[in-house]
Parts: sequence; C-alpha cells; structure tokens
Amino acid sequence: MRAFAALLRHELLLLFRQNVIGIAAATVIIYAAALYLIPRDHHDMWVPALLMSEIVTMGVLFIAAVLFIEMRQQTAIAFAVTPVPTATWILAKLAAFTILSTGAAQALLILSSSIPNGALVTLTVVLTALLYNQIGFVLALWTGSIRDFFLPLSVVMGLLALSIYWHLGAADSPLFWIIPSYPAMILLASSVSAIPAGTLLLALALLLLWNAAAFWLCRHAFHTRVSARLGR
Amino acid sequence: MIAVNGLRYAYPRKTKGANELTLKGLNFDVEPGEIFGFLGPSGSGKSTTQKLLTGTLSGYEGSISVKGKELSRWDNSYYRQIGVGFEMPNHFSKLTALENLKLFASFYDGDTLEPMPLLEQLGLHEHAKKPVGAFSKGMKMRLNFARAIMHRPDIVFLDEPTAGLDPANARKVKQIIKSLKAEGKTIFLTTHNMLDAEELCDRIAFIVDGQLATIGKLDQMKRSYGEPSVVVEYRTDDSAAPRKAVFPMQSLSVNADFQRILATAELWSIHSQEASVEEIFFKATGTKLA
Repeated sequence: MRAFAALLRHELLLLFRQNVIGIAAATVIIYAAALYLIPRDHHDMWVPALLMSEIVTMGVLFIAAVLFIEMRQQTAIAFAVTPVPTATWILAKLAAFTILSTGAAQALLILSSSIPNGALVTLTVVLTALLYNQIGFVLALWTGSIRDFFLPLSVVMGLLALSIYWHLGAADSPLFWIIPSYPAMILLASSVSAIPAGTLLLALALLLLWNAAAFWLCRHAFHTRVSARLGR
Repeated sequence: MIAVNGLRYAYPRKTKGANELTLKGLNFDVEPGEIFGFLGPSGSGKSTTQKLLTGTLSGYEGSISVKGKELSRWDNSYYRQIGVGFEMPNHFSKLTALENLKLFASFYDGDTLEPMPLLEQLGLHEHAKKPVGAFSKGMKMRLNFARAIMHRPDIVFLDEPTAGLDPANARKVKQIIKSLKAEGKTIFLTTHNMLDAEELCDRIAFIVDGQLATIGKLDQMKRSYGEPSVVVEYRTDDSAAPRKAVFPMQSLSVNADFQRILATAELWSIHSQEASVEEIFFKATGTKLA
C-alpha cells in the first residue's frame, strides 16, 4: 500500500511536470465550448455522447503519449527490479490517469447541469475512464512507437465509437453488446432516459468484466513488451 | 552466493532467429563478498546473462541459484537482496535527481542510504535539485549507480558502471565499489573495460558467443596465458635514438643479451611487464575484447 501511495503521488507529480494537467484543462475548455454551442433542449442527447468522447480521448491518448515518453526513457524497467509488483505500478499509473479523466468528465458534467451527477454516473465515469486508460496502455505497449500507434488506434476508436452512434440513434445491433464501450454508453444514457434495471445491471457487470480483462492485458503487455525486449 | 549451471537461453522467435541460443550452457559460481567480472565483446551474451540473473528476463534452461534458492522460486523480495545498475541511464527526466532517488527509496522497507550524502560521494550533490533531463550521460550513469546501491543490497549487478564517465568520476565509482566489497557485498560486474576489470575484479569470466571461454583469478590467468617480461630502453654509443628490447623474466640473470646491454649500454628505463586482460582474453578466446 505504501508503494502504491508513493507511485500514485509520483504519477500525479509527473502529470503536472509533463504538463498533462494543462493539456487536460485545455481539452475540457474545448469540450465546454462544444457544449455551449449545443442548444439546451438537445443536451439530453448530446451530453452523454460528449462525455463519452471526452473520456475516450483523454483515456486512450494521454496515457499512450506518456508511455511513449517513458518507453524512450526506459524507466519502466527500473521498476521491474524493485520489490514493487508490476501490478502495483500499472494500477498506480491507471489510477492517476483515471483521476485526471474523471476530473475532466466531472467538470463537463457540472458545466452541462442537464445530467444528474449521481452515484451511478460517477461510478460509470470512473469505470469508463479506467477502461479507456487500460486500452491506451495496452495499445501503446503493443505498438511500441507513435509511428505504429495510429493505425491500430483508428481501428479501435472506430469500433468504440459505435456505441456513441447507438446513443445518437444512428446505428443499432445486438452485436454491440460485445463492444467494450457499449455498456458504458448504456449506463451514461440511463441518466437521461429510462432503461430497464436488468439492462443496467448487465451493463454494469460487463463494464466491470471488461475492466478486469483489460487489466490482465495490461500486465501481459508489460511482460511481453517491456521485459521481453530487454535483452536486445 | 550465485551458482549458475547449464544456463541456456534463446530469445523468443519474434525478437531473434528461431531457436538461436544466445547462451549455450554457462556454468559458474560467484562467491560471497567477491567482485566477479564478466567480460566479453558486444553480442557475446554478457548482458543477457545479467538480465537473467536479475530476473528481468525469464524462460531460461538450466539452473540459477541465488543465496541457495533457485531464482524461479524467489518472489519480489529478491529485489531487496539485489541492486541493478543498468547499462543505459533510465530516469524520469522531469524529476530531479533527489526526487528520482526518493521515489525508488520509498519502495524498500528497511534502511536505505540517505540520498544527499550518496549524491555527494558521486559528485552530484550540487545538481540534486536539477531535473535529470538536464544531466549529461555521465551524471545520469552516476545516478544509475546511486539507485542500484541505495537500498544496501547484498548483491549488486553493475553493467558498464563507468561508461561515459570522466576519469575522476570513474575513480569515485570504483572507490565506492571497492568499499562495497569491503562491507562484504557481492558485486557482479559486466564490462568490456579491461582497466576496470583489472583494477576491481577478484575473478574474471570471459564469455564469447554465449559460452564461457575461461574463468579464474586474474593473477593465475596472467601466469597461464602471459609470460612476464622485462622491457629495457637503452642507447648505445653508435645509436642516437633509444632502442627497446624485451626479455623473458625467467632466467633473466643468465640472459647474455640482457647482461650485455646492462654492461655496455646507456640505460633509459627498465620495466617489468605482464599480460594485460586484453591479451589474456585474446589468448584464451582468439577474439578481441572490444
């Protein structure tokens, strides 16, 4: 626990020193401007979509950018020879970025005032931010460089965006249940439109499952992409 | 302290040729409290060996036993026993030297060395509060070294610890390595710097193409692979420029040529000479070290 606390402090300090917090603030301002341009009576439709888009953007891109810097500095391997388990290091990094994404999403929620900022919305925002940070983490480690990052990113983002299309009424399919962003979108949409309790529970369970699977992938990516590359 | 038996390792197919063995059956022991030098040319497998010993690479065949326990059976507490100095600097460039050290110190339960005196020993105290991004490679290497020993590990793995250092700072690092040995610490030193090996190591192993060519104490190797000799610089009446002659140390007292020079020439210098690590390496392996 002490190591986790130290690592979390370290990650938050790095977010500040690397100016990630400043960029996050700028992102919130851009989304707030987009929100301002949307007529108030359309907020129910657009705020959950904007919220999801903001979480996706910050979740995937920010953590990936920082990981590319750290891969260049080879700092991850310095942690690998300390008593701190890999999982603790990954969790601390994810926690720091989830705090950042959640903070940005909460700022947008406060500005919108159309979505009730209840416990379910907050929980959904946290779990969604955590999931997208993990997706960004895995993508960054798997691709290994910015040059190779964007093609897989565009495929993944395209897939994840389908849930936003569903929310806006532009697309629908039972297959959407297998998209990781779909349960999150259902939960966010539930704050502005009535959704059966069974569907909500299923969405929450799926979101938790996706997070667990993504965490396993994060650890796997670290071992295969950081440790295995060491000897070269 | 460390016992390696039949160590074989091949990188996964994606990162190197299929089934190509990088290490082809290494056998060696490292005694407690000794400085063990692991020398070899680039690509010989010395860094791979160190990475296996530090547990950062896995999937080896054979046996690696550290403090009497197979490496695969150690949990994360292994990293309280060992310190690792990497070949390349790896620090958070946006953090200061002090912040980098304090972060890593926070991962250990027991007593760790105070960062500031350690930085002072390495000549970095005046830069302790500067971001590491502004450091030269030599300064970053010294910080690597500080991080490796900060938690007072029993075994220290050092990969080219003086690479990129000027002679004065290299001397500081070597002095600390000697003091660690005096405290009873075991040092595994991977290097291709012959001078470091000669100055620091109790025993040396030469690795070439994933195999150990020879292993032993340096003075024994010097006797086995090199012939001690005497180099004489002298000038005779009929020569303006000084000449140089080399005589085998053995039976020097009855060497007629040596005696004649002593009797007739103007001596400029006489030096004894023994095989350097580089020469021993070449004789033992048929390969150049660098």
